[in-house]
Amino acid sequence: MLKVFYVICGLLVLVDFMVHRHIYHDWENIPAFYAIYGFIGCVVLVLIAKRCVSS
Amino acid sequence: MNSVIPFLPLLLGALAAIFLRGWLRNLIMIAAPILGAINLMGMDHGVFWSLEFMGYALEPVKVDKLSLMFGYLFHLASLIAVIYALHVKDTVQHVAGLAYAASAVGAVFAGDLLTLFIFWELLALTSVFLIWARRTDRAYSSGVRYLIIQVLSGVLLLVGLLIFAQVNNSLLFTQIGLQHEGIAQIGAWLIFFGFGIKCAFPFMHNWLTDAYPEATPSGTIFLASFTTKVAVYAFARGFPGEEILVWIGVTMACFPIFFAVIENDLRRVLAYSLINQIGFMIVGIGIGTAIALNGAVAHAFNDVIFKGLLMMTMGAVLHMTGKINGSELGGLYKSMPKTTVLCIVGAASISASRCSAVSYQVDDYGCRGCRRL
Repeated sequence: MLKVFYVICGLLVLVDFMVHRHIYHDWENIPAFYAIYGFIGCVVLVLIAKRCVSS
Repeated sequence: MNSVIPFLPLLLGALAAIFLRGWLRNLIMIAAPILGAINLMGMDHGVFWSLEFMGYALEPVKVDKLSLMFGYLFHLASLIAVIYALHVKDTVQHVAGLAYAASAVGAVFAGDLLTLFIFWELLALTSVFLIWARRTDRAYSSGVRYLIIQVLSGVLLLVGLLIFAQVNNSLLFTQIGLQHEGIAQIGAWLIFFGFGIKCAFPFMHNWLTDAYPEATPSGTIFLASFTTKVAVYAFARGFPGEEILVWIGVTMACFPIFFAVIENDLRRVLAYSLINQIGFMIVGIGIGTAIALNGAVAHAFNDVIFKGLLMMTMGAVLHMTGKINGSELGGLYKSMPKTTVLCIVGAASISASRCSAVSYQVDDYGCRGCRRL
């Protein structure tokens, strides 16, 4: 099941290069912007949440 | 006008469920929300029932587009929840569930603040039995805490409406707003916080994440559909376009996520997610334009359906395994494949995936609403 998940994640990154998006901000031109944004967003989210609970 | 009072079919269904058993009760419980929705279709806009009480004009049933939308939503939600609860052989849950739905319908058709207050308290009194029906010590104490907070919300509303009745000599529930002079200002804020508690505003939200995960699997479906949505309706009616709601809504949309990602109890994760979704609706009401209010109501519709679905899948997991902590579960796609697929559908919908209702809503209202800002 995890393998399927990783494959889907990989495919989504590839699709990002092919699908035309309506761009509102220059940053969205960065390759695989949403994958990076999502990943960093989630990591930061969890780190802050853990700190909130431990403090 | 051949219709009856909107909450009557659901209330009669609840009363019938006390005495009936077996397939006859199941039939009545399914028929009540369907007949209720058909009844709504025949209702004309305007005051359906008015009376005078201690010199004040009351309008216990008033119909307009906003109340009708929520009326249809609550009938749909109660039908879904009733079907999910049919397998449970527990009269308390069946009766409380339908009476709770009837209270929610009564609240959204209330044309005056006194009637709203009565249904506001009935919502609390009927729904607490869905928590107590779990019949554990944790659920009992959680239910007591829930009831105290809900009654407090009602008391704030009562004091606020009494001040308003004194100042304006009217109890009718129209736009209240926060800009008033003198004591009316205090009344408006009391009503605002009374609504805010039921809406799970930041720092007033603990009752929700405390009580909803302790309710029975079927009870949580009812709980997730009604109380907070009635509060959203009350804000849309009483405080549309108040800028403070935008900031409160944005906070509600963000802060629960931090708690949700490190929470182990999956139904509590969904409870945090519920607050997050209400935050989006509150932002829409705070913006206050017609299209933003449309978006908020449309999102309430979506939320009841996809959050209901997710709560149902988690209820099914709890029912089958007896466990609800993420760390104790795994490999459920093998033993519960249908539930897995439905959970993925719910999760895709809440993530606004393509073809889901939320994605259309984001396209339609979100983008246009934001451009107006």
